[in-house]
Amino acid sequence: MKAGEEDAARSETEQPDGHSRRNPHDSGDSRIERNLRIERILVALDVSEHGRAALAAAAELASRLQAKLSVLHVEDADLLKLAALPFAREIDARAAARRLETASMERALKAGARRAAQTFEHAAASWRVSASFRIVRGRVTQELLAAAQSADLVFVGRAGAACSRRSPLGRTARSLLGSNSPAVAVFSDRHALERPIATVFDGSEGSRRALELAIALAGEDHHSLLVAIPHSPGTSSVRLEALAQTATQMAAPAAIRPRCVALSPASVERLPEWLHEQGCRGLVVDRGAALFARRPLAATVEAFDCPVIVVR
Amino acid sequence: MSSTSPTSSLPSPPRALDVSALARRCDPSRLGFTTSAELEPLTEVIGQARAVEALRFSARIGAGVDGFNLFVMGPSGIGKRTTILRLLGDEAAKLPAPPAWCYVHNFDAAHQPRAICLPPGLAVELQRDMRVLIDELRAAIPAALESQEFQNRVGEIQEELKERQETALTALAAEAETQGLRLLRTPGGFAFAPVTNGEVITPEQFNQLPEDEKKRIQDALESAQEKLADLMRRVIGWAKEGRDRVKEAGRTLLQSAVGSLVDDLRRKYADHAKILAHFDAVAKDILEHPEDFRRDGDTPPTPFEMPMPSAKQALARYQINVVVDAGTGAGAPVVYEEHPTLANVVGHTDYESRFGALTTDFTQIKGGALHRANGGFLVLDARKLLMQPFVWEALKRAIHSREARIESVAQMLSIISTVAPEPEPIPLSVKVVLVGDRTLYYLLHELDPDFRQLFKVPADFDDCVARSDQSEVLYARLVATMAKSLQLRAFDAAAVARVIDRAGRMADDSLKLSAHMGAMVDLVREADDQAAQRGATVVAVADVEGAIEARRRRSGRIRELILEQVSRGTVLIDTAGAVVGQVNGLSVLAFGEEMLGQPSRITATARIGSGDVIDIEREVRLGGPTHSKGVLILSNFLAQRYAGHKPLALSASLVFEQSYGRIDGDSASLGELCALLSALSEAPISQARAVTGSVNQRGQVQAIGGVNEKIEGFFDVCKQRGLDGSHGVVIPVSNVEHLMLRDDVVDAARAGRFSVWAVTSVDEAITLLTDIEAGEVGADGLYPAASINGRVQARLDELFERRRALSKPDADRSSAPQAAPAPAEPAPPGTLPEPERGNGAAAMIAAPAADAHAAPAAVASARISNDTEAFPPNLVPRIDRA
Repeated sequence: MKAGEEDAARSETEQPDGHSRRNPHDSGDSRIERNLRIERILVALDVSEHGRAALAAAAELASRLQAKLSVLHVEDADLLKLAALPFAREIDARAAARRLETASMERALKAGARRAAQTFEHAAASWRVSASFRIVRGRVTQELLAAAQSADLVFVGRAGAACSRRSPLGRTARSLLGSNSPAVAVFSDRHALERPIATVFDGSEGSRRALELAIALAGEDHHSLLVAIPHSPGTSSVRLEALAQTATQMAAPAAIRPRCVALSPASVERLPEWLHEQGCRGLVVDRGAALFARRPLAATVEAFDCPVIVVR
Repeated sequence: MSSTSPTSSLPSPPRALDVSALARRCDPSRLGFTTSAELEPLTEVIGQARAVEALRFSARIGAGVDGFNLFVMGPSGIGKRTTILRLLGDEAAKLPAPPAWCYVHNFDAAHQPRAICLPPGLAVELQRDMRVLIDELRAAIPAALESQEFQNRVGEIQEELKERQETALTALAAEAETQGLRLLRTPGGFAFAPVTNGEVITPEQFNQLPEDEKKRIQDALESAQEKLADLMRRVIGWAKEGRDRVKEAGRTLLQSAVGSLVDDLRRKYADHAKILAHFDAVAKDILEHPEDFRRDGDTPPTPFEMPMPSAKQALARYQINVVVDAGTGAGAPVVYEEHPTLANVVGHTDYESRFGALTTDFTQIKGGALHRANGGFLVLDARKLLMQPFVWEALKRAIHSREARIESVAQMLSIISTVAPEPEPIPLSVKVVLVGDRTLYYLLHELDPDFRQLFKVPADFDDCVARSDQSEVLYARLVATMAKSLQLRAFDAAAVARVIDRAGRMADDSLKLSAHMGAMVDLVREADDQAAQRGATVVAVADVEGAIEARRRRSGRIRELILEQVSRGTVLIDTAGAVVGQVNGLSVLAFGEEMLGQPSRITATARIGSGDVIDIEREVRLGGPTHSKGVLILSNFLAQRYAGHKPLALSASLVFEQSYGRIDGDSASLGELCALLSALSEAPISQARAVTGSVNQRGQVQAIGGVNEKIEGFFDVCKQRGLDGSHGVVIPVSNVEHLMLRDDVVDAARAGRFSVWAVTSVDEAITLLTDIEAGEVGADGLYPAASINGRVQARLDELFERRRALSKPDADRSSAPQAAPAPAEPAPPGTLPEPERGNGAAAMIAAPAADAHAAPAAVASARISNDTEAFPPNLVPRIDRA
């Protein structure tokens, strides 16, 4: 596979000494940064409206986490393969069929890449994060997974880039959630990262990391963070209180007083709906949380129509 | 030609006219006031009963009756327009106010705006109500469309459609997966790709597949593509359905808001079905196009950045274009259109230039004078109207069809190729009043058949009004009204009397007063100026006389030039002594509004000949037909009186000496005859006297025009040389009533230094001019030998004998009697060449009695034609002699 890498475009906000400018709204808790190590966020950019929305959301997240943003545009090699087939046809929005050809597909991919670069340059001008842009050619999911290895968080759209814009959960998102990839942020073009943010905290290491990220994203608003503490019939109230106490203590340095709520097994079954009922507009959750044994992670993410960040 | 003294005996010639006959003067003491300030303003029209009756008849008969429109004719300046506007105003006030008309958008055919009729005053109110309605909707509709409720509903619809699309695509993708196909998003849409081991198959891999597998894949692909195409078609349908549902949701949402506002108006205009129908159309259109009620600045993007019409422009179709609404209580309209162009009379449509293209709509329709006058009277100046292209025909069409249809020249000539509105014609009920001079009336009547059908009522304004004690009082009130309306000083009774005298002089008739109000207003104004110059508070007789004299001075250049030429001998005019064959004739020159009398020397010669009286003016084509006619008449008179039984063996010639321009009229025929009789009788004519008058074949003297100017012209020449009592003018008796001479002439007559004689026959005239009795014919057919007639008869006999003696050898030589026609046979012994005499076309045209004062007011310009060629004969009304 030929990787058509181009010189990365740098955001104007990147400083000459290589350090990024600090976001004045950030909590400034260096401990969180250090523990989470979310310093590089990767986002795939296609030429669709959805792609532009994802880019904007990723930039906002990077800004909040003071992370660097890597923007990747993948020229879909499957399309070239398809165009090489003699019987390949394209059906456009007017239901008209058109013969696909390699040469015209090449031109279309180049034009798409150019537009993506323009979109990035145009958007990056208003950011206050360090950002780079790269173009590769290959299969979208695989290239993203490959690029994800060098990122701390992969930003992915809810709908797959290769298929319809609003399929319930795209192939790429599913692949990333199911792979050994780092943290994954699943966004839709309708919702930016808003508060209150929920997280599920059961005391495990993974849930602790999720809570740390949630605290970082929640900002200084006392009502911006909801900590759901799962409990089973055997869990003692002391244990629940201890977990709540822990969460509160973790949030204290960021001057946040989280709302801690017990999460019953029944609520776990219907976690997306429960989160909606609690008024949550985002979720940060550990990929290995025990609750996903009852309801698969992908299904939960698919059902919760708000941004979800899955850490590991 | 020899010059001798007049003979001593004077056989009872007509006596000079009494001073009282020379001019009629208004007696101030009989007017019954001291100054005009005491008089009531005059509201009625003086002496125009005929015209007023016609006007009232036309107004009374109503606009519903075909063709009873009015043509008001008469010379300019007599106050026709002022009079008819006042009279029509009185008539119109009795009529109900006409309905109002407005144009509204036709939602079914935008280029055919609808006309709606409403009670007076209601159109303007409707216009205001619609403006308020649209303003309210401009606030209410965007607010409703931006409401959370509506946005949620729209979002719901869109979400539903998206989900439907996603579900269908996902299902199709899943179905394709089972066939080893993957749905890919391509730059231009979607495509299916065959996959193997999770990878899109390459051409090489495909070629290595077994044929069965290849066919299976291709069949599956075709099937999937068909399904995808079918889905995309359904998606298009869903998108349309979504738009329709959003629109329907908007319509449902706005229905109540629009409905309640429109219902308020509907109740108000419940009695007007057309308005209610328009409201229905408006409400429907608003619900169809709520996007037009966007806020200012919310302009949607357009291709090529073409600017969209603003919200206000987009809503213009809901406006009410009031074409005419004069309101209530004003009666019927009386409209005078000062500038009767096609656009001003029938209305027009304005255009607006947008990006080089001319655009318009029903709001740009502008009504014309016809619309404004509908239900009342439209007054137009005929001359101005006829000078404007297309408007005469358009006006006739409107009257004939009884419809006010807005037409544009550009459309008629296809100058503009853009789509223009075709407004629904408005029913027309208007009385059209044309104002013009008589020539125009006769021309239109003769040349335009439609005119006779459409303008059946002529209102003929007289040039003059009859002069009586009563009319003098009315005239005095007229002067008072002028002074008041013009905010001038009051006139004392003597000044008013002098103005009346001036009106009499302008009428050239002691029994008439001029109806030329424009000239009278000028005189009154100028007299006021004279009073102002001397610091008086009341206008006195001296001011009026000063104004008349000032005007005479202003236009006196030519008069002074003539007098100078006579005094220096450049123009030869004798005013003393007596000369054979020479008489002072009188002519009138017209310069603009001024008329000037001028003496002219007429000479005659006589010798042996064959009965020719040569009119030298005619020979050199300087004489007009009327003048030639006069000469022919006097020739026949000679032949009839003196050569009844034998040929006239005379060759005579007549000439206006030192005349270098065209002359016309027969007023010199008496003078010419006298000169000829003098030449034949060798009786010298007194040069202290001048003569004017026309003669008929029986020697009777007939009236002529311009008698006052002629007398004054000769008086001025004599006065310059010194009046000694011998000077005077011979005029026809029938002109005595027209005498309105200047004061200085009257004063000279009163002092016995100047005389005016009135004669009935050529005999009286020649007696006065030669101081020799004319002589009466005896039983033997002979005149007394010493009389003029006797001397003429003797001379003609002598000439006849001589001619006979001269012609005898010729007769002897020729045995054929028919070779030389008898001299008496060729009828008139005139000089007209044969072809001209037989000109039948000329017989069809007869100038009005130019010189005859029998109908002095018939055509004002006829007087001008007296001795000058004033207008071509083809502008004279045709009179069939049959």
